[in-house]
Amino acid sequence: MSNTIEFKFSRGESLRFLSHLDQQRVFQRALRRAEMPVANTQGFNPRPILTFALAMPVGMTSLEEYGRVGLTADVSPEVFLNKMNKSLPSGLRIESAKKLEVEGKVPSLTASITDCLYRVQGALAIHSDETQLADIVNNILERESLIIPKRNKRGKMIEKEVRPFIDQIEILEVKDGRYLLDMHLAYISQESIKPELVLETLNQTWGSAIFDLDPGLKIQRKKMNLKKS
Amino acid sequence: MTEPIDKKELKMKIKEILEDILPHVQKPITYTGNEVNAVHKNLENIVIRYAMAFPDTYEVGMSHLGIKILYALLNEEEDIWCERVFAPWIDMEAKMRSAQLPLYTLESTTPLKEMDFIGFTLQYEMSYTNILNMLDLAQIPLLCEEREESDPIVMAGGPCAYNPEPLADFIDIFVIGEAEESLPEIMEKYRNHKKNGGSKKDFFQSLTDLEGVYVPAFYDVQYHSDGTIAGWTSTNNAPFPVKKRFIHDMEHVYYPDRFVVPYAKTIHDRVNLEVFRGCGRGCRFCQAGIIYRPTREKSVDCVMKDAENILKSTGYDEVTLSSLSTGDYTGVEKAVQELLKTYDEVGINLPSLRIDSLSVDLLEDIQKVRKTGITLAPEAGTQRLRDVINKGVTEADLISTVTAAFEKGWGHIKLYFVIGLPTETEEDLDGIADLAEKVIDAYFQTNKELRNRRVQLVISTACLVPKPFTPFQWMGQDTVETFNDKQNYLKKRIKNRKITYNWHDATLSYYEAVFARGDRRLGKVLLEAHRLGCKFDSWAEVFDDKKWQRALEQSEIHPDFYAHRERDTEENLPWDIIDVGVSKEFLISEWQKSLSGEHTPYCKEKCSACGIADFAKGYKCHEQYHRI
Repeated sequence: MSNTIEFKFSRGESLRFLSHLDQQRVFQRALRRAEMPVANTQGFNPRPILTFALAMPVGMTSLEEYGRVGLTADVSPEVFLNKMNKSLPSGLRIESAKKLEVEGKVPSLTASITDCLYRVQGALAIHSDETQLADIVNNILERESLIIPKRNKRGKMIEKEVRPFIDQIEILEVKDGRYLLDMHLAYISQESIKPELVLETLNQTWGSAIFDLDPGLKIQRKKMNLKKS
Repeated sequence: MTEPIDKKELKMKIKEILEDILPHVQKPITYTGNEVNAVHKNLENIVIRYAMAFPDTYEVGMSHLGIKILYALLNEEEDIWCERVFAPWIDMEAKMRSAQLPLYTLESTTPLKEMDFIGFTLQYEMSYTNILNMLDLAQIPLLCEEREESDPIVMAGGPCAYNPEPLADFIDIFVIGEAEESLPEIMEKYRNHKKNGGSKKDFFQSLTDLEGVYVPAFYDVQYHSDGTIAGWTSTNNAPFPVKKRFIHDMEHVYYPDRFVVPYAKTIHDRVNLEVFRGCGRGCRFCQAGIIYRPTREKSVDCVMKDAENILKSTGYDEVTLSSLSTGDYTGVEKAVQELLKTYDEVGINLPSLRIDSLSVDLLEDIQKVRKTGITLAPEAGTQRLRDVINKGVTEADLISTVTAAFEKGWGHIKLYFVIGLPTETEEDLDGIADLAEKVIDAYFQTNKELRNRRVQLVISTACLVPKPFTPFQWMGQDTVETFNDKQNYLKKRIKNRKITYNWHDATLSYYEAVFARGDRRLGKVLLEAHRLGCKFDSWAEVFDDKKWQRALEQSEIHPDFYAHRERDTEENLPWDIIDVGVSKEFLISEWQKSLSGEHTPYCKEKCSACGIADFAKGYKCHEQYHRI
C-alpha cells in the first residue's frame, strides 16, 4: 500500500444519474486515459485496486466522496489531481488528493466514516411552513426509539431501529409546497441508513405522509466525515 | 447563426421537463449525453446541423460501428455539428408524450425539428416502426409529402437501405453503400444550396449527379395486375439504377481517433477495430457477403495505429477485431500478437470466426484469463445442405476444431444453424441433432486430464429470411407453421441434458421476410402499424403480432405475396432500382448451382466473376490482399 492515493471528489447535477457500477467504470477509464500506473489485484481475475468509501445511488449528487487508488509507481498528489481532472468527464471532479502515508494495515475508507450530512429537497404532502414543519419533525425526534419495518439483505421483513442513526434534522426552507432540509446521519459499526428511510420513518411515525417520497426527491451528500487517522 | 431567444427558452424548458421525468425512468443516464468524447460545438460557426439517429435503444445504438464512424467524420467539418439521437424506451416515451417533450439530440438537447438533417441507420427491418415513432415524437410529419420546407430532411443508409422501397414514403434521401465519401459530398451540395437558396426539391435535384444517392420521389413504379412490378419511370434526370458506393482504399479511408465512451453498459462496450470490409466466401444466404463486396483489408500497421489512438482517447481496456469473418483476415495472427505485445492489459475479442479458419491456439493466446465460450456456425446439419448454401466447411473441420478446444479446456460451445434453407428435408434436421451429439462425443473422447470438468453445448436455430441481393432472393420462405413444426421436431430430437436448444420466433422472421423483400406499397402498412402502436418489434416483450395482423388487414396487403411466393428470375424485383455491383447473372447462376449443391470457390482462391470487378473501373480485387 506504499503508493496509495486517497482522493476527495464531487459529483454534480450532470452526472447524478450514474449508477455506482457506471461510476466505477468512469474512474477506471479516466485513470487509463490519464495514464496512471494503476496497480491490479493479484489472482485469477486481476482488477484495478480502486475503492470508494460509499456507493453512490442513482440520482444523488455529492460535494464530498472519498476514493483510494493503488499505484505501481510514485505519482505526486498534485499531478494526480491535475491529470485526473483533465481526464474525468465534467460532472465528476477530484477536489483534493493526498498520499496515504501509513505503514502496515490501513483501515478501509468505509470503516473510517463517522457521519454524513445530506441536503434533501422535495415536495411536502401537507400544508406547512418552516416552523410548523420543524415542530413536527423535532417532536418525533424527541422519542428515544423509532422503529420501522424494513426488508433486510435476504429479503426478509425485519423491525429496524433507526433513531440512533439520526443526529439532527434542520428545516432550512418551506416554499410553494416544497421543502429544503439538512440531515445529519451517524455511522455506527460501519452501518447507517438512507435519507429516504428517515423521511419514511417520519411519515410512518406521524401517522400520515409529511413528505412526498416519489423518485423526484433530490438528495445531495454535502459532507462525509472520516475518523482522523 | 446565433440562437433566437425563443429557442433558448424552449431549450431551458426541455431541461426543466427532463429534470422532472428522468428520476422516474429506467436508465436515465442514457438520455443525458455529456459522455467523454461527445462533440460539442459553438453554434456561431455552424452551417449544418445533423442528427445521427439509431432507431433502437441507446445501448444497442451505441454499440454500432457505422454511426461512430459517420458521427466523427461529419464532426471533422468545422461548420457541421453532428449529434446523436436514439429511440427512447417505452417508459421514457410515455413520460415524454405526457409532458409534450419533443425528441431531442443528446449533445445539445435541441428538438430534432430544428435540425437540417436526420439520418437513420437501417440495420434490421424490424426497427422500421421505430423510425416512424421517432419522427412522430419529434413532431415531424411522417410522410415526405406532408413535410414542410422548414422540416428537417430525412436520410437513411445502412444494409437495409439496399432495398429502400418499404421506406420510400418516409425517407427523402437514401445513401446507398459506404457513406464515407458520399455523405460529405451531399453536405457540400447542401452548403451550396443554403448559400444559393431554393426549395428542398431543388436540393434533391442537385443530388442526381452524385453516385450512391437515391431520392425515391424521383421514381414512379408501375405494377402488373398480378401485383408484380411492370417497370419504373425515373423523373428529373435521376439515375436508374442507382449505383452503390464503396471505399476503394481502406488503408487511407477516414477512421476516428476517438469514440464516444458511454456511461451505461452497452452491448459492445469496447474499441472496435475494423480490419476489413466485404467477404469473399460466398455463403448463399448471406446478404452482407454480397452487398459489401469487394473484400478490402487494412494493413496491421493501420489497425495498430487505430488501436493506439482510440485506446488512448477512450480508456477502454478491450478491443474487437471486427469484420464479417475475422479469421479470414490475412493479418489476424500478426495483429493479435502485436496487440498482445504492445498492450499487456488489453483484452482482445475475435468475433465471427469460421470453423475452418479458427485457430484454437490463437484463441488460447487471447483468452488466457477466463475461457468464455466458443461460438461456431456450421449453419446446416448435413454436408449436402452445407453444399447447397456454399458454406464450405465439413463435419471433420467442426469435430477437429471442437476437439482442439476441449483439449485446451473449453467446455462451453455454441453452434448456430439456419432452418428453412432450400431443399431442406427431415434428414437435414436430424443432421443438426446428430452433429450436436457428435460434439458431445468428442468431449468424452478428450483426455480427462485436459478437458474441462463440465461440457455445455448450445444449439441455436434461426429461421431463414431470404434477402435481396442473395442467390436465395427468388425463393419462398417457409411458412410460420413449417418453421414451428421443424422447431418442435428438433425439440423432440435433442434430448441430451448437456445440450440446450434455442430457437428464433418464426413470426418475427416472417415479418422480416415481408419487409426485406417488400416494395413501396408496404409504406401504408408501416404507417398503420405505427398508428396501432407497433414499436421495438425486435424486442420480444414489446412485439405484438395482433397489431401487425390488424395493420396488414386494414391496408389490404397480403404479406404472403412478399414472404412465401417463389419469384421467377425474370421478374422485376423492387430492389432492381439499386445496383450493388454483383451482377444478377451471377446470382442466378449461384441460385442454380445451389440447387445442385455445386461449390463456388472462395474469392481469394479463384475469382468467380461476380461482377464487382467490372462495376468499378480500374478496381482490382486481388491487389487488396497482398499488403499485410
